[in-house]
Amino acid sequence: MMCFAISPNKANRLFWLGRYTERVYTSLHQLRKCYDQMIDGNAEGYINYYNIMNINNQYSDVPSFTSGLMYDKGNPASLISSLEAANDNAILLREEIMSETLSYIQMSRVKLDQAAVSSQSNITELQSITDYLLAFWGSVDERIFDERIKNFLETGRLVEYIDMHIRFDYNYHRISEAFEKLCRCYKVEEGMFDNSKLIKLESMLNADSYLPGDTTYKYTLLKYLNELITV
Amino acid sequence: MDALVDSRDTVNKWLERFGVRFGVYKDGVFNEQLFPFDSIPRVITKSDWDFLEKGLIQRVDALNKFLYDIYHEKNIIKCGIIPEEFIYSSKGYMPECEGIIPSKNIYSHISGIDLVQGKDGKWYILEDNLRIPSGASYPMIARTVSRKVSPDTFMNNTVADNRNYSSLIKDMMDYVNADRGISVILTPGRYNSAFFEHSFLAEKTGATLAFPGDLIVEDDFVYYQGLYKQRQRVGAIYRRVSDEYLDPLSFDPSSLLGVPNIMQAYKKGNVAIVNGLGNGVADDKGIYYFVPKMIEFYLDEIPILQNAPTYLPYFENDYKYILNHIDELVIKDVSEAGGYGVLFGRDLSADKLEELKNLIIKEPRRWIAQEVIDFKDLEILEGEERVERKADLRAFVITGETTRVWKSGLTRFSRNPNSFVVNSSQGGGFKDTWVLEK
Repeated sequence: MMCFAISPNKANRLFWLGRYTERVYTSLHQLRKCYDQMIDGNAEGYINYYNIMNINNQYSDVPSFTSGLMYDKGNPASLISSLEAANDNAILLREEIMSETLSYIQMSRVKLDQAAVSSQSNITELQSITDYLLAFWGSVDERIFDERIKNFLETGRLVEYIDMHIRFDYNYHRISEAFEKLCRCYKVEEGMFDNSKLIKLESMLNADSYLPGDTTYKYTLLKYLNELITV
Repeated sequence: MDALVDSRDTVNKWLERFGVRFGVYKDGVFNEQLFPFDSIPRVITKSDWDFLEKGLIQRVDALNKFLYDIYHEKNIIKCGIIPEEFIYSSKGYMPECEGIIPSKNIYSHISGIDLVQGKDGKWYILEDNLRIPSGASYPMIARTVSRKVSPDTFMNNTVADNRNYSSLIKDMMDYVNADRGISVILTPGRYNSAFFEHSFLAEKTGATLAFPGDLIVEDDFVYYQGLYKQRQRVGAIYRRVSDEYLDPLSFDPSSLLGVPNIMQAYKKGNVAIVNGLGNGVADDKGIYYFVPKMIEFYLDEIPILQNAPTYLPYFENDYKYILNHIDELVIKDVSEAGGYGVLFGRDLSADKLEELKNLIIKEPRRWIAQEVIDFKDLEILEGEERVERKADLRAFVITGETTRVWKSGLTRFSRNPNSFVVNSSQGGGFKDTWVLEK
């Protein structure tokens, strides 16, 4: 007989696997932008990154900024911490996501570990991790047939996507489209959402009320978003 | 085969890609390591395999009958074949299992039988693992990868396909499943040394991987708990949690890994537990000595496979022999596993030998002694060079509707040229095991 029940722990892991893979993906994108600015001697991007991600600025120069953001396991916002968190969840979900899908997280981890050992500071050398993460999501689409399992992953991915896009002031339309998708996830698994937060987010993310320049507004939006999922 | 041998690094890269690792605790710190794969396979000829297969089925069938007998009539004790103190002083004997009839009367569904081949070509059984034998998934995934990396090797050699291990397990679980419930693999969690295997077998058998807390017992039935109070009846549990931690209400009350009241469900036949509880009494190193006698007693057959020559200090003659030849023997502590508690007399100083003698005199039941088998070395790759190392073979015997031997096995080898200890926890690696079809 097939198992249709999904334990709360499994749902939680799927959600966080989705979030952390998206965090690594978007962080890589942001760090490539910072690196590009740094080529011209401008370290502002890194400083902004630290501020946006609420990390204490404990690094003194550009090489320590880059290595800290990429390889510092003590820094919860570093790439390596996020990827380890993704891996910690993925490894517990092998039977749901399948070894092939898991392999893209494993390869990302191996690549990042190798880069850490050689203190690779050129972020563009980590392009293969971006490629693996895209392949990971392709594999999720291709190999996972259980709509609920996919939905937990997708919900995590979208929550993180919206979170990072709000923090980094991405275009409103991208945020609003992601939110629409998130509402479709709600229709599949209503029980995992806090309805009151969803209503508040719907209202705040309305085009007429969107105020990205207002710090309090942004803080409140992120707060509701991060309290939206209850698994 | 050379193409495959030359592809060792490529195979290992693939294994890394699939997260084929095992966990080791050292000095209180957990580390996940890759399990080094050596691409030179152990090759077993068809005639050798046919012989081994018969012997292994015979042995496991006898062990299953022994387990039933011990927890029911105890005829083997009544007939004086095994002294009762060997049973009741065994750490693996569980009085709580008295009178329980497991689903389909099977105790050892997955038996890991460790063998070595002597230089004379004879196979010897080193030990029986009937509790939670692990390791089959490593050669299974290594074969999958090897066939990708070097297809010609398998076109040119008639090697039995070993990728059916998961279907053997699935069929067995379906057979013993109580009332068509779901099948689960119960893992203690990520920090168990064999977690890779738990998750990989769940994937390949289609069973649900259950963690501590995912299962509950209500009215003597086991359920998998889902979100929103959804739950599903569980019919078979392939548990990778030791007996003593499986039910805190029956065994170790401090266990956080078990399922409270699972013993009640098991007793009532409402769930099959793979492997059964109480199997430790049959794979006790002291009981091992008696397995050939069990085969004669229960099956009325002559044992096909030999034990390594073994002495029990419990018997007067053996006791004297052991004390007089301690420097030539390998002495094993029956309460240890994983290659620990194994002492080679020839490696001990005079003082240490004397100390060991005193321990044997003090607690004769705790020890067995075996002749050192000069077992056949297998070639491994050390860098680019071929060198010979000690290796054993763990054969996996699956008992469901029938007893079947998986046509492969886990060949573990020592990387240390002077060591006979092949356990992965002590730095060993593994090889694929080829069983030739012709």
